[in-house]
Amino acid sequence: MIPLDYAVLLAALLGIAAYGTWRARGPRDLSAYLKGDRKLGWAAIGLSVMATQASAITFLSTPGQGYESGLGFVQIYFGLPLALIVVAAVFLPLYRQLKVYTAYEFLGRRFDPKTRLLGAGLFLLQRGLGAGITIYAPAIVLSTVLGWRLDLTIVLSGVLVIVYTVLGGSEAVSVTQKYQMAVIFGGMAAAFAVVLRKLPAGVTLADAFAVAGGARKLGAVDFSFDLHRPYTLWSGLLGGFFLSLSYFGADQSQVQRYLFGASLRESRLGLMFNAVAKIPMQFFILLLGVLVFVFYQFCPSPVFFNRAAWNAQLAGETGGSLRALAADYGAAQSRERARLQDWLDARHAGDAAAAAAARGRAQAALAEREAVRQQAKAALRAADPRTSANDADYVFITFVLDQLPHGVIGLLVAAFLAAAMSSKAAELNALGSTTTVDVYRHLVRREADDAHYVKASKWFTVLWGLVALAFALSIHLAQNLIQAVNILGSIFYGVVLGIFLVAFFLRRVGGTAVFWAAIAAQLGVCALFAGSTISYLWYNLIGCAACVGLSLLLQAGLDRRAGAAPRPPP
Amino acid sequence: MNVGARPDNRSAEEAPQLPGLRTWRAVYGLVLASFLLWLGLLVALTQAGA
Repeated sequence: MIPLDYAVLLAALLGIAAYGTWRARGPRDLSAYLKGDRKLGWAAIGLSVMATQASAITFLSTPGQGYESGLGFVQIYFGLPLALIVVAAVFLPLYRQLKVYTAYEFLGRRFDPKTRLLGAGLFLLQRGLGAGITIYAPAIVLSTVLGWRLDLTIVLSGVLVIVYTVLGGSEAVSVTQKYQMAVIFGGMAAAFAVVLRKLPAGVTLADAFAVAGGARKLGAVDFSFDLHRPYTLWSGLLGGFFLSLSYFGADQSQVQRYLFGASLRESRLGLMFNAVAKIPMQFFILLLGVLVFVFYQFCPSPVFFNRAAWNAQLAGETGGSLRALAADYGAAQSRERARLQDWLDARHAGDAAAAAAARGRAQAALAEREAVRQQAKAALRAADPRTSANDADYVFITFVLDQLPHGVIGLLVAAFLAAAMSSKAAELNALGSTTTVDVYRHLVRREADDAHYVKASKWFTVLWGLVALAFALSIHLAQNLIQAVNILGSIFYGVVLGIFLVAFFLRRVGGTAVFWAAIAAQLGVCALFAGSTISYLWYNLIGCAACVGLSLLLQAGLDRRAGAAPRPPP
Repeated sequence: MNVGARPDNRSAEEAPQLPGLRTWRAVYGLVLASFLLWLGLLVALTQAGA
């Protein structure tokens, strides 16, 4: 990066944060601080919901997923449109009607205080850890690639978010998210245009898709019923539905985004905007990764995209063998490039038989190149077992730094950090609100004026920000970052959703039954995570079904024990 | 208040007020149709790339 990139980066990040804080200035009561005075239209709500879900990991890591595994990851979002319809039709009207600050306040009114605390506690635990990953994930990649200090990157980006979230509350979060999304979309569109323009002369978009198809990167839908495959149509529809329903319906970081719409109509349309736009958006981000893969079939690529980790080992004992592997990789790339050109020439000539034969030879060359890459990863891991062999998160940022013009590089890095800050701000805002409303006001200080609770909310936001920073400074994640976030969410989301589904639809079940059922179901999901290899998306379905089923059983047992007629609806 | 009950969805502010879409059921139908369209496109892309 050159000074121009840093100027674009700082102008975008500091300008948006300052504007958001300025727009939300002035004293406000608790409702205005936590709900933003309920004046947002559907577009602002829709973008805010989108920005909260799409963290930096979405834009850094998802293209890497596309590069490595193709389009299949898009299936995780297949359950999302239906889930958002359920949230808009059932959850949202009730939340607005009850005028709650948090989703867990609803549990207290429907069940009892302990169930409210359990729901809030599961959220705080899961989202508190998630907030750490949200800030760690882009920092580790950007600091490695750009040579920044990891701890400083974490602390500076984290402190900036804490400042404007604390000063401006919910309104500042929403206002900044709108402009942060503009930077993100601008940056990703620029990257898309550059990768298309950088394809070699004579390689058309149709050729690019043919090459991607030949490398099996276009498999977006997998119809198999294999429970151990991470992404299939069925795990996406079912697991993705429960994951999305829990995330949008029962996770305060999202509920707080759409609760303060100007009207029920605006909030619903904001959710429907996401229901329509999310799958295309994720598809294009994955497609960007696939096109980066095609680009690197024609242009030299590093054998391992985390260059810092690779270069660190070159100076060591295994440096010689790593250099030899890099040379082998370069030779394999050249052979593959020649085979690909033969294939494309046969395609352009319209000779189907020759094209099919050349396609097979190109695929064999690709497999040979990939085998060398795997050998290199294994050698790197043998040289230093602490090094992650997963370099997918470094693919897109490497492309950005090597191929994009200066100024646009600054815009893209700003987009990554803006995405990190937008989701982090919403998380901190929700953590502060939940701690204030569901724990502090509920258990510690029941009678106080609004000014006191606003002040408490600010301090809790600072506290959670510091917890997230401390967690981010202490963790080390080896696996793909976007996967890590989804795994963490899936462990808790199913059970939380189960509690809410019982609340909405099983009116005979009381607080004691659902409370103990939720604890048992959560322990079961944790055991599943520790001892089974099934795809994590299924945790959402299993946790939810276990919570609902056990609630019914326990309630039946409680009714029988009481020897009374079934419990009347509350 | 019975918090387990479904809210009344018939107030005036709740109409979607979108051209050609008078009810929320129509809006949800359109959202599902757009999902099915995307699913079809993705299945076609998968088969074309196989």
